[in-house]
Amino acid sequence: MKNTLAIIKPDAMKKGHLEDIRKDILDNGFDIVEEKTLNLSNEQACSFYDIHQDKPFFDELVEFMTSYECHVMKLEKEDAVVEWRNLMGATDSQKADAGTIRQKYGTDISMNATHGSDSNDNAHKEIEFFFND
Amino acid sequence: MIKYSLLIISLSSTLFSQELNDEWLNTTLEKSIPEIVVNTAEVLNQPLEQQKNTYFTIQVAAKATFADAEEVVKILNNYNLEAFIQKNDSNEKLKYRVRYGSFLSKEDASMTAKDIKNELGYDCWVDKIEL
Repeated sequence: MKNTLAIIKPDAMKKGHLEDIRKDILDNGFDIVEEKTLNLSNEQACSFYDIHQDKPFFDELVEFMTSYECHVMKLEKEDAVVEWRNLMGATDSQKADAGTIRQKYGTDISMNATHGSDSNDNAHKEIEFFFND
Repeated sequence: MIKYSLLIISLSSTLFSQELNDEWLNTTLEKSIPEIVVNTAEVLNQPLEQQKNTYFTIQVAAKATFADAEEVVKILNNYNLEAFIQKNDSNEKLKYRVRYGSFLSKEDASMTAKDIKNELGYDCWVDKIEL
């Protein structure tokens, strides 16, 4: 699949890394097909992270994602899901490889700067969730 | 007599050439700017309450200093584009964002962004803002 969904999370937006992360994305051969900046509502965040509803970190995650604005992008590249996950690096910013986005702009496992779809199916669903108009 | 005739021909030719130059200049300017101006007017004439909570804006540049950002704004102002500066306190390298417009449609914003890129060379992009 050529598309995936990327989110620049509130922590990175608050630190003003929108342009830095966009540049990394473009420099790594992705096209940004669609993008928008928004404040996620509680309802949107709960619905988006529905699969984590039973996890202990769910409430904290929703609170974090609604704490400030996010920048959501539909990315395009061959094998986009895998390529974007490679560029982001490990979920925990403390363990992410040097040069990856999460290592450069994230803080820890929860404030890790970016989100990426974890499979082609989810990429499709997540893109629909944010860009269905 | 011949001298006078040559003088008249020469003068007419100069005037005609000047006219052509003016015509060329006007055509070039008309081609390069009006869409931007028309779009701006369309956007600014919309009452705020009709703009809903979603709009499109063009990010033209991001600069480290206010002076640099102001330079970009001045250049845009010369093209009748009333750009604004948005402060981004957390990032010292890109502290001042220069943005332009509040468009109701993505197409209008994209078209204007393309015009700005073609005319002024800024690598601008369109951000959709959902409040």
